[in-house]
Amino acid sequence: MFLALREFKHAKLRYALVSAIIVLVASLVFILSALANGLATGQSEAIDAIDADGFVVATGSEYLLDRSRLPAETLDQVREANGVEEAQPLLASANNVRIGDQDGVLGVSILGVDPGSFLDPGNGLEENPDGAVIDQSMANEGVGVGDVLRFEPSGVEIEVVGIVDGHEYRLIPTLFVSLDTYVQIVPDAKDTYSAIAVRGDYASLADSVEGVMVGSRDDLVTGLPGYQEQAGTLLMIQGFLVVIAAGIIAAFFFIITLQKMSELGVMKALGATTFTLATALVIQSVILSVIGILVGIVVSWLLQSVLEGTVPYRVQSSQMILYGTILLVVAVAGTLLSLFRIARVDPLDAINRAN
Amino acid sequence: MAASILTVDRLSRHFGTGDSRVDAVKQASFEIQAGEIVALVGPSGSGKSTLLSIAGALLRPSEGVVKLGGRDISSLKGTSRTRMRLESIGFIFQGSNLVSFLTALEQLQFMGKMLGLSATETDVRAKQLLEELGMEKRMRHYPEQMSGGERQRVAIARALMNEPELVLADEPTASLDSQRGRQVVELLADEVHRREVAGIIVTHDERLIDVCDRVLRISDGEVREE
Repeated sequence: MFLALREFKHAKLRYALVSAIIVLVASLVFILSALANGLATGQSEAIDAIDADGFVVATGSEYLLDRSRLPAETLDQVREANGVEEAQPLLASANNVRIGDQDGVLGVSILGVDPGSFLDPGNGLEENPDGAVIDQSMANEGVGVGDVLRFEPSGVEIEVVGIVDGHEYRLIPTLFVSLDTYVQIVPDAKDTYSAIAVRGDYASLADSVEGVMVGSRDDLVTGLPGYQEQAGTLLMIQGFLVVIAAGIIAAFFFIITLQKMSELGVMKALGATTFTLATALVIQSVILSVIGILVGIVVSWLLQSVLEGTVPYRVQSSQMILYGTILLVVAVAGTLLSLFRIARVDPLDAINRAN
Repeated sequence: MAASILTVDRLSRHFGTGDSRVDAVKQASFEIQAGEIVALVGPSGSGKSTLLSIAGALLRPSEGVVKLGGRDISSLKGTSRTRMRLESIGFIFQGSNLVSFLTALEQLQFMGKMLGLSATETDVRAKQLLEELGMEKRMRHYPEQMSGGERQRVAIARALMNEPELVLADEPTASLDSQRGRQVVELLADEVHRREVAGIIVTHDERLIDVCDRVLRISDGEVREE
């Protein structure tokens, strides 16, 4: 600690610059993870919010709700099956909506649920089953309670009766209506369901009910078009960024160590052990990294309020802790190269250097 | 005269093997008493740095024995050798070999830390030494803010911080003009006499010889008393 802090004090600018680099890299990692998280959440939060054990969808739909059509009697069969505690039907599709007298139409996700059931997001649908409850993603488009939504091409008009947060689906403005209203908007959906959310044992339903496949919430989420490709790409970017961060930090500490070789030789000649000198370096890297990572967290967190409603961006503390820990481990591992160099310093150089 | 602190007995050191073998030190034997400062003089390449390195437990001899305060240091390895240097030997290197990011006081405090002294003990020793060497006004200065002579004074103070049995100075005046160089060597000689330690100064400056008690001449690895 003695050496580590004295060196910081003496070479403030140098170490401030190293810390600044770590801040930039850490911010980049955190911002990217928040963006990735925002995208993933915007795709699937309506599904994530459903408190069910599993889902039943039509065979061959590959968990894509748009493609899944279950006949009405499937719901009865599921409800009668052994081990099923509760089953609720869900309808989902994309649609176009004209708001009030506006010219343009808005592409929306529309979800049909039984008002008052566990699929109902709340905030008004149960009291006004003929209305629509919109998600914050739609409210961000300037829609409010009392506005009239006109669906194209059916021409059905529905009034907005409430707003919920955290129920976006497929990254477009999302709204909830009752099953009856849904059928008015999408007449094709009459006597069919997109999926059935099941509480209880759902796994055996694949065998006991004709024409269905079952899956968990994750299956439904990863079944969203492009979800896995997008998640994979973003994960790769973050992975490379962490590797690059390791390289940058390792290079910085290595250069600083190389600059001190003769000094390290003198200290070893005076009786300093490799352990003493290595500890100082590791302490320095931990301090600089922790500062860099904490500032990075603050930056990415502040950005959340700046970006509110413009870009899908969501800071998740568990992710921050994960990436922060990875960065810290990577930063300390980055000093390993320098530690080897320190171990190889020969105290004899203190005398031979001059001769 | 007091007991012998450093005993070098038939010490040899060679590098390489076969045709490329170089005998840096050949069968050197000498003793240094407590309170005695010895000049080790010789042209470059004569083996004086090798001899100094072996006496300083930085290098092991090929043959022969080196005893410091009665203990054989020639066979010590690894951490026990490092420990021996830390506790029993004071080094003053050529030019400025102070740690660039530590102030004069901190150079000495670092030694205290490594020795495991208490903070108070460290501060008392460090301040007293810096005062003895006339550096009390420069305690908070970094090496880059000091003159060459001041740096060497701090280096002497640092070398005495562990209350060593043996002080080794490798060309301590190399970067100084003759007047300042002489002052530094006189200061070192005073400390050696007063603290009853053994001292070796490696130098090729003949004008400094009269400050020392004895002179050892080394030439082609052979040591001869004068």
